[in-house]
Amino acid sequence: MKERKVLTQWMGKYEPLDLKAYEASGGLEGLRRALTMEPEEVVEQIKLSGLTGRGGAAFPTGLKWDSAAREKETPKYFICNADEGELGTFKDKVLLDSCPWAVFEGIVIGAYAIGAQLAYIYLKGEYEDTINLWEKLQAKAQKAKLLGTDILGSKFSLQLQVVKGRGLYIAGEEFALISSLETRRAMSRLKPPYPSQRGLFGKPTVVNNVETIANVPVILAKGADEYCKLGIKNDPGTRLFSLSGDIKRAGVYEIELGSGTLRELIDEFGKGTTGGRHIKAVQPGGGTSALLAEDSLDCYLTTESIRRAGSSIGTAGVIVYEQGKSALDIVKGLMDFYGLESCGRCAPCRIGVVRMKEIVERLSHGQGTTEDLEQLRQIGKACVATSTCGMGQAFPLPVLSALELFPEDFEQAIVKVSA
Amino acid sequence: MTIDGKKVKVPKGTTILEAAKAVAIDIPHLCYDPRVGPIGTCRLCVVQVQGQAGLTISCNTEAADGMNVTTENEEIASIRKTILELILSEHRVACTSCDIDGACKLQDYAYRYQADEERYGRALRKPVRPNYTSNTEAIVYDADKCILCGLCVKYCEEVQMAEALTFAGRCDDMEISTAFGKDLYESSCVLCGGCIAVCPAGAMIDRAAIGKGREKDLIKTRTVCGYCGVGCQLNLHVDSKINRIVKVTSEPGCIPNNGNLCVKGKFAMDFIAHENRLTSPLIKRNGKFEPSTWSEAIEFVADRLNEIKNKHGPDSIAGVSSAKCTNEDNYIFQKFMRAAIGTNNVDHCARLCHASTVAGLAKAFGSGAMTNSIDELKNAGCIFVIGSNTTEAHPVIGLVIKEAVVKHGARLIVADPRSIDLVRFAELHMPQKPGTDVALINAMMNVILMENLHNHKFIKEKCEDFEVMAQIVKDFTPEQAELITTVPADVIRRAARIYAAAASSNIIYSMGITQHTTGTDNVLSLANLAMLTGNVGKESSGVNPLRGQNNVQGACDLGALPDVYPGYQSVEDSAIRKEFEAAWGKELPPNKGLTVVEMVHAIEKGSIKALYMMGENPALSHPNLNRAREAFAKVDFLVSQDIFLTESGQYADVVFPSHCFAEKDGTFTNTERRVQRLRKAVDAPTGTKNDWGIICEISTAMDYPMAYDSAERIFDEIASLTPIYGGISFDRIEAVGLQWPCPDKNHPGTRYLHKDRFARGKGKFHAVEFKPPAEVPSDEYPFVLSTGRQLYQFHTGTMTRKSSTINQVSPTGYVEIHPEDAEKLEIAEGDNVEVATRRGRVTTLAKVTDNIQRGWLFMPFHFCEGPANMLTIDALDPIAKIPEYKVCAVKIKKI
Repeated sequence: MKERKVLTQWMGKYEPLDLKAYEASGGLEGLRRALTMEPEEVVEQIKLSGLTGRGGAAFPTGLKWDSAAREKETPKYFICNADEGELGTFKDKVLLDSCPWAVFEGIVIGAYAIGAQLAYIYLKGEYEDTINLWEKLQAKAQKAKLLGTDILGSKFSLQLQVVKGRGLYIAGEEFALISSLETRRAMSRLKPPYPSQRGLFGKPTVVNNVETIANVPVILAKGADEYCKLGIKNDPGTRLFSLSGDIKRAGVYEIELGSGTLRELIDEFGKGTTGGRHIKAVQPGGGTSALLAEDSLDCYLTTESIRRAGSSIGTAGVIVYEQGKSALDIVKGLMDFYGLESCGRCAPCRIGVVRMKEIVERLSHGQGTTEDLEQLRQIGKACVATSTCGMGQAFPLPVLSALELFPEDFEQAIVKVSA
Repeated sequence: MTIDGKKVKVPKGTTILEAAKAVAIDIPHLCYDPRVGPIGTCRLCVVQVQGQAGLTISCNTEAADGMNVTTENEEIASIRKTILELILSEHRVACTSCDIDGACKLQDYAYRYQADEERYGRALRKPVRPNYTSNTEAIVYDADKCILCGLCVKYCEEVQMAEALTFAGRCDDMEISTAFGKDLYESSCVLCGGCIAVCPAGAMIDRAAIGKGREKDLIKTRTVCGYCGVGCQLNLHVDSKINRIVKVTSEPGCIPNNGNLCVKGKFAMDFIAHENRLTSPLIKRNGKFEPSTWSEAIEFVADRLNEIKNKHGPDSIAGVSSAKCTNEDNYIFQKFMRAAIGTNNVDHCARLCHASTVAGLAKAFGSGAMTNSIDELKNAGCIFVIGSNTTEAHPVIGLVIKEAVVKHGARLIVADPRSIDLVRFAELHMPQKPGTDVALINAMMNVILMENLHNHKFIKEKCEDFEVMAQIVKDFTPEQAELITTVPADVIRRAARIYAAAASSNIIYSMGITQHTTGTDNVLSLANLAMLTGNVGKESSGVNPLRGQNNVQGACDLGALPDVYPGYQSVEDSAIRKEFEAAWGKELPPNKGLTVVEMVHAIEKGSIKALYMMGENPALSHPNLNRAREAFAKVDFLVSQDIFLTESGQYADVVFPSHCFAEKDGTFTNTERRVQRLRKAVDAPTGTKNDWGIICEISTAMDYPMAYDSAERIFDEIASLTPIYGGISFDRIEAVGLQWPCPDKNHPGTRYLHKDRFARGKGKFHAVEFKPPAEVPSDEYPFVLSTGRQLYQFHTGTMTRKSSTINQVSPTGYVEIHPEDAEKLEIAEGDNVEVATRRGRVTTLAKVTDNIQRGWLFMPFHFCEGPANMLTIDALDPIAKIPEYKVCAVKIKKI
């Protein structure tokens, strides 16, 4: 299996902020083409490309844009969600740091397509260097008249604001991010209305993940038809896989969808487990994706194939756990994190996440009971079935899958106490 | 659609939850309230919709054609149970000592699903730590019981729009708080108590009600609020063992307030059981009050009144009726004055608030009341608020205006000298100089005429005397108006265009318009403006005076006025007089009587020898108090009938103790002409009698016998003599009040007036020219003073100032002054200042605020310490005889 550098094609070729070099190597072509088209035609290209969101939910990007573009309310807003907070996920940082102009270009095209005159990039607060870089980029773009009025001689005007996040996991959720931008408490909201209908300040808003946006100039430059040749039917393009966990070589690898299996990715790029032991389990889509046991790793790297294997491609953050590690410990690590991150909006998530964290802790201390396992299942089920946003719907999945795949790890913890 | 096998038909936009409610299927929910948009935090309302994957949240999903919904199955029940058990793991279950035991949604659902309160660990009492309510008298927040559904936050944001409450902390540490944890009473909270009303779990509670009774211990009586003219429906919860009102609530869906209340209706009922209530008649002997028996006091008053009547004639006696009393009380009072005493010298405090409305709108339209209903405001295209601080004086109508703007896109124009709260929601604010309203309105009409925005058809078909009015305004430009009003000409132009352009424009006004020597002119100008654009006689557009007192509309309707019998029937019309003479069996005086301020002046002249005051406190509410109080001291015989010994009562020779609104049966008529049932909730203190009963006894003792066995009997007599009330009876208004005119038993009442034609036939334009106020600033008295009300107090504070909640937020009076003026005079916030006019001087505290313009001052009039009416002028409007409370020339200095 080989990398297929489409989004990361510029990586390392020149100094990231060098606009001239970016342009010389084919950059801005997508934007130039887009500006010669009607906004609806740009939206149509994205729809035809079959691009889906790379932030975790895999929602069709074209539909999102179309919905916002059709709204009559103005002004509209375009937001680049760069608050990369999912566990085991660090691919957006690569794009933001090494290929910022491509992301920028995608933002301008997106804003043009939906009719926004103000765009935001909401950057993860911990990415300090990235924030500095984007502030410089913003100034350069202004100077190069890629922002402001009549961009590249068109009638299109746009301003971009670089906003620093405040270190909340949930602010990566689109409505929580919008609330944060409105200087409110970062909290998810009830849908519908969706952000594309009533988003930032109640106006039509598109929130797209960094990687999603990085695909946009490629689609516009190549044309949707050509872009669709990447990947497989219904799941075109590449994905940036963040590989981490108990492996020798962690990193971000851009892989054409469907060009190999999860096992190949781990073996060939990860170079084996740190302890040299067999793999016990893998989370293929970030910290809230269900665990896959070793015998499920032959699924292809596509949204559908991973789903059929019992998990989700999510953020494509592949976290590897080797043998010898208890599933209870894996789950405890995850719950230690998520247990503090509910925005508090929905009762089952707000309370459930804390109760599950407590139960897992109890089990880890050898103080759990069989009843505790049943409680984990019930709370998890209620959260998944009833929560508003991705967090509540997903955080129980690793726990539920661990209980199913590795019941002995949990039962052992209980046995200890009675022995 | 189908819900649990039942066919349901609902209007578009109805949610599944609401559709289920319509067929009596209760989908569990803890965070739904019809007054706010869906919150969807409790997640209990999930249902299964056929053909949809997973579960659907029913409070945020619209019902659709052909939808098939299952509200409960094994899976859903199990999930609901788990969620409830999770909620119970953070709600400290203390039902045994909880005030809302038996009225708690969480308790109900926990029981229904047999949720185990200890399944996920028992929520224990957290260490006591102060929160944002610890120092607030009205409300207690118990974080241990809070289930964080967010309804209180949403209500505060969407209905009250105070935005005082918010979430703080995350996960385990999450709770409700104010911004920066400020004490609630010092935050933007207006203490409406809405958070208590919507709380499903007893986390927000009335501090005063703690431990005073649960649902099963209390008896609930539905009645009408006794404060302002909105006429909110209240439920008074009474502990009958001790005859005390424990708390006040209201129900969503009720008319006219939809379950919303203000701080006064919710928290200012302490006066009812106050220790200072009068409990025995008092007779002043040698300058001191002595308790007397009822028979002695009645006889004494009857004898004195007879004596004066015999010696000086019936017109030497005057009576002040009361806008706080019921329709029945007012009817009996004026009947007593006219038939038993034989004079038309009867008036009441409407003279001091809306006499100019009654006069002006009668002249222009033929009827002096709100043309429209409160709920019509919601659909108005433009709302023009002039001279009404609605959110403070009529808070619940303020909510409707805010809702109209925020939720329904109404365009709001505010004309007020001060930056009142509504300005936050307004597209335009015109801070006109006090007393220059006619100039402002004439200039608006000038713009409308010049730009040809007027409604030619309406003017031609429905109005008369247009030319006379047009002649006056056609040369009066916004530039000229700017010189007089200080409002920039282009702002006046924009306001005129917005008002004229809307499909329905609604004028809201109150005392800022009426309490001037040009009060009638101001009202006529507004009537001109409305007729010019055809904005009368249709839904959501009209001229709407907001009435101040709970029953000021009713007191006027029932003829507590010197020129009309009940139903605005002239005392000078002999045919009408004959009808009343026949009904009352007595010859009646044919001449108009005196108005309240004229009564004071007549006492000075010696022509009035006796004054009977029922439920009024003119010694604090009258203008130019020094002069008024001298008159009360001078009058030969003064009777006060009240629930407290008021400032006015102090001057009386005899005081009768009476009943308050919560102790009475009868009717009040609210500002939208709605006759509503008042119901007795508590027994009045022993030794007191009801108002109409006292008057009947005196009347009987004066050989004009009156006796009724109930308020209902009186009302039936009212209906028989008052055509606009003719079709109303107690049984028809049991559930919801009726709006007059309601001429017969089958008439549904009238939502808005002048529908096909004006009450007087044609709408009459009046040529009104600007006239300056009676007193303008001079070198010695350089400031303009306006007086008025504030949210927390009512009138002379007799009732509100007995509430600990109110006293905490509104302890005493003040004068508002602009920061630049304050700086020049070296006055700082909270300084003691002396404010003086040619008539009197008072000491009060300075409140430095840029809500007021330079050169203008404002004082609330509720406070007996530093009473604003020591300063006001008793110059009268020549037609309505209303005094000019809103403008006088004053000086101010630091002391």
